[in-house]
Amino acid sequence: MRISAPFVSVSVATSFLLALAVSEAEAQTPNLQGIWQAVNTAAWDIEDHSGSLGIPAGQGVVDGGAIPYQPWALLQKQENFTNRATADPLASCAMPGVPRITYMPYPFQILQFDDRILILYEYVHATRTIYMNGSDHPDGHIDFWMGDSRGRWEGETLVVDVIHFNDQTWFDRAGNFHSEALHVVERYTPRGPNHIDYEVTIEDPNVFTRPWTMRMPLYRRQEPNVQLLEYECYAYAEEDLAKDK
Amino acid sequence: MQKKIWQKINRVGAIGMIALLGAMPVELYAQQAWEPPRTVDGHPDLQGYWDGGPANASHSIEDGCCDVVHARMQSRTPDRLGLLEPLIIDPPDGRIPYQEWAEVKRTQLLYDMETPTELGHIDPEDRCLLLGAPRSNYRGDLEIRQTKDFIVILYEWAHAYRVIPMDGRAHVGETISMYNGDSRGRWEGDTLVVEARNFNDQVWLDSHGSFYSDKLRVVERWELVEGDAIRYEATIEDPNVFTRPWTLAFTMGRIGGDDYEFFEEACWEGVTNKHRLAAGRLAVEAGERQLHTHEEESQ
Amino acid sequence: MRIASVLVVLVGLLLVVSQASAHHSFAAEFDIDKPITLTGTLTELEWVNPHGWIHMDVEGEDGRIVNWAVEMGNPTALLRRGLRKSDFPPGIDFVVEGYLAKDGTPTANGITVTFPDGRNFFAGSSGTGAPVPTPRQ
Repeated sequence: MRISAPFVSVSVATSFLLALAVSEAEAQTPNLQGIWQAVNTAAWDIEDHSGSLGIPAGQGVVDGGAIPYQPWALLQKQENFTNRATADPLASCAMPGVPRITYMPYPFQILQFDDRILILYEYVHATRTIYMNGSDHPDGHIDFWMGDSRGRWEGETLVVDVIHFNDQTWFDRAGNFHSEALHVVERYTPRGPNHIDYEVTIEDPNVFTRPWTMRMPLYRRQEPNVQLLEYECYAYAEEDLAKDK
Repeated sequence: MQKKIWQKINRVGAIGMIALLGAMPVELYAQQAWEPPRTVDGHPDLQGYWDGGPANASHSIEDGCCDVVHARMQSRTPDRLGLLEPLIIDPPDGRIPYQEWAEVKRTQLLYDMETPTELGHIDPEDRCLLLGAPRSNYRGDLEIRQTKDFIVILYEWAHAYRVIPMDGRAHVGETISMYNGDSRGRWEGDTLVVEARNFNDQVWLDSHGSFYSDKLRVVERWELVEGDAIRYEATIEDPNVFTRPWTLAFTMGRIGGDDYEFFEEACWEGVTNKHRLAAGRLAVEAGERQLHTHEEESQ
Repeated sequence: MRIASVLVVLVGLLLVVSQASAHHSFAAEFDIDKPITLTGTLTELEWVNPHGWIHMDVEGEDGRIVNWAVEMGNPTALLRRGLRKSDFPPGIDFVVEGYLAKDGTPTANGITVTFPDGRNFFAGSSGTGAPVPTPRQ
């Protein structure tokens, strides 16, 4: 095969234009890639709380202060709180669900692709694929621990719609809970190169009187060689935890 | 004079052409050579969903599946027994080159798994533990994604994943051990080479108690091949346990169409081993121990 | 819910056992020498990984109702085919054939499902020569 000069020129020019087009496309949507972590006490209690043994005091992350429980649900929450040492699903090392996985005190890694965004969590190696290809949620109902996530960009904000939850997860160790009807909408908005403003709206007509919102910054982990490690919760206490299984 | 200048131009032109041609990818010259699809970075595009190679390998990388009871309960015909082709390509006998003491320990596990009395007698897969490398790659379907700096492998089973940095950073320190180890990747031509270490000693290479120590090191080679497949090879080294490095290899085929997705496969949340342990304890009390074997026994 | 749909679901649940489970150490948990037939009514379907469970009320020879747990494969293959837990409400009558657990509890490893009209679905893998299951029209 003879390689002609015009062939070479056209190939080079095409490659250049293609690379330019790709970088243009990438410039239009924010780059959320990297390793992130929340820095607050929401994993213990998403509302205002005083300190207790092993648990720092914290100001709540719930807009308006109090979670708008239906009267029956508030009683259930209080019962959950009383029994939290054993009743918290995390006490048996179950997956934390969404959004609790976001504000667990463990890092997570975001990777972006044309048709999906991956979030890999260190805590019990939970993963979420946020499908960005305009697809619908699968028909339901499906009982997932981490829900089914479909996302889109609204300007600079990644908006993620999450449904298909079981009723087994809590929002924190304080016993704040939901039903299978849980519907979560997350909004990730970059604020500078090292912060994401995370806003999450909770809707569950079985449990709450209205939708309600939490918000918190997410911080980029900036250590030069930071990476996800493993937290294999149940493996560390398998003998004990497997007794009832 | 003109002739000399012309000769000079010709020589420069010739050198220039040779330089230009030399810079061209070799594939341009060979009309029949197959080219893998590539990412914008110019590397082979391994992205997509892949089957986990031979279905029986996770039961035993030497003998495939299964023991007599298992085969009868699942009504497996001969074509669904054993391995279609050997997984271990070196050593040539297809057996894991265990040191003598390790072979004894593994035989012990082959007894214990038939009458398990503690968790350590049970296949780590049935305990929902992360299965490490290479076992995760032949246990079930996997998904590969590539960015400039990372290759990520996601496994549908137990929502496992491995992150493979491609930027040449050092491994984590020796005293951090993980079920899935710590991986670092690089390209050697069109082959993805992954070096993994920092494994713990808690899981097995298959259901036959094929254990290893925390000195395990694995070098994987992933190569996209014609026919929409990946040729996978893993060289395994553990001076505590094996007499020498050894290698297994198999081919993975692409699965799924455009809309294919993994589903969440929670594992620990729904696992139960209480029946198996209760049965094992009853059997041991009754003095009934037997070897896990794929041989037909007189029953 | 129509019987045909239930048949598909049950057959699917059992078929998944054959395809997916190269790992499961059946011999340690279930007794190949104790095949068992359970006739009863579905009370609960546990749609979970790594193994699903069918819970069914079975009337024993003594007239007492015992709730049995029958182990199945994982539900991913069923989800992928569009089936859902809600396709499988409690109250269906059926017969399960399987193998008794070795630990003395009312537990079994499910292999086949048969319906009161005698239609039998052998849940082995394809290629065994067993009858191919077809849903009732």
